[in-house]
Amino acid sequence: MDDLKWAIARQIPHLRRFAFTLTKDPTEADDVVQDCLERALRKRSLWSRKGSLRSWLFSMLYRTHIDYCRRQRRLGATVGPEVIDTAIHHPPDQDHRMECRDIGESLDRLPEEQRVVILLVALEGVTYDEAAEILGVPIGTVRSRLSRGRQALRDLRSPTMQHRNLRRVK
Amino acid sequence: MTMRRAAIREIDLLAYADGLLDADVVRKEEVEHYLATHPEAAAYVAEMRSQNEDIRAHYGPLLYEPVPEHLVAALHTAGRRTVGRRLAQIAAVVVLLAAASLAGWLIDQSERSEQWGLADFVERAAGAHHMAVADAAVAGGSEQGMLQPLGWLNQRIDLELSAPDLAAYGFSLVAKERLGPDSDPFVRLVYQRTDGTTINLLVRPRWEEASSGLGRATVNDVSVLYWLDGPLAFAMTTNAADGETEQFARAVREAVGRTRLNDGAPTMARSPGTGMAPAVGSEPLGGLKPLRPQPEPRQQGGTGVQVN
Repeated sequence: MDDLKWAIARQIPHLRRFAFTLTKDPTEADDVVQDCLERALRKRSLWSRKGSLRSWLFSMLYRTHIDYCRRQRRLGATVGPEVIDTAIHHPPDQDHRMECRDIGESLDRLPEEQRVVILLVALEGVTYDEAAEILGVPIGTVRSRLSRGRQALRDLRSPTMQHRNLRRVK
Repeated sequence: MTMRRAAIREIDLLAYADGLLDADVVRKEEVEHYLATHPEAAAYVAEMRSQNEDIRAHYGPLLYEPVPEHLVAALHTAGRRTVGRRLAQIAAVVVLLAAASLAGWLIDQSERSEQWGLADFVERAAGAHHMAVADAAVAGGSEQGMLQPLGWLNQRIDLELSAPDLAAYGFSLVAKERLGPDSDPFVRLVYQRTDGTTINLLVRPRWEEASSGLGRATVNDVSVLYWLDGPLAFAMTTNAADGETEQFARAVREAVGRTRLNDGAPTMARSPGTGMAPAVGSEPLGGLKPLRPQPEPRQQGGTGVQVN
């Protein structure tokens, strides 16, 4: 395995996680990752070693995901029950897990464009510039999506948080 | 006298909460000072950090799941799979051609797997043929405004591209602008000659490496010349006489063919004022400079773009 393949292999867990947050379906996520890996190897000469390999791969993965969505729309595919967020299966008997379930459900209610930006920044730790590059949008768009998404997340979570606090008092 | 910096805005608070101000110590201190005197902002930052922690706690464990073997194997077998895929694609094309001749939906199926629509691009080029040049992009506008479109293009596909020089044909570059939606943008270069002849050259990035010959299409009575050159697609329209049209297109392609690799120089988009392409009008001869992906180590020192 050459250096680039080795470096790409190390990014697979991050790619799988990003793909899962996009597709919400483990099987489809792995399909997207596999296509992304093959595409990355085909287009390896387009990657400049100056930039972040993860950002380059994320950008390619995001495009692959968009292609999948377009293809599904063309084929008239419908979302099956298995696509429902697996987070709802988390046992709700612990506060910590409940909190996590809340954030997962809340994120899923956001428009994808906002959810993706938040996840890139909060989960993957990319800068706003990198997020703009990955998504192929201006940085101003990233900022506004982030701001709107963060606020929507606050609004979505606050009733649940209050509800939980009431339970705790009781 | 200390320069007063911009007021603290929501984006500063978000960047602080996301840990993105660590490299900007001064701004970070300003935000911290602001937070010390604005409890609501401090509560907001705390909540954003809490969101981040919850998100990491929720999705963090996914990183430690075992990677399926077929994904690792994909890195080894991608080349072999590509050959297989191409054979399958060829077979599919044969079937589709037969079906299309009966059903007449060839156009829809001509889309490549990457959803890149050459036909759309050619249509846009035809649409841009009569489009007025945006004021900000006309020569005489701000230097930054003139450079940004190509800077964006270079950043998007990591090339170093400056506008082709058509001075030998009497043309001056009068505008560069970015057009199209965010999801499918492209760059338009406009050249003019003193006799009123205009050339519109559209350049669009794509994730392909193959090249093509010169093609011609007519859309709404506008003749469009187009070609693919690795990670860039070109479409050109002009009001010049028919005999000159192809000559100009070949001149642009020739400029591409004369490009040389620029080993290690920063891309023009990276840092304005350092390593950027010169402003319109002051561009040196040579036209398009490096117009190809950054080379892999084994390719360093190679020749310019292969243009058919």
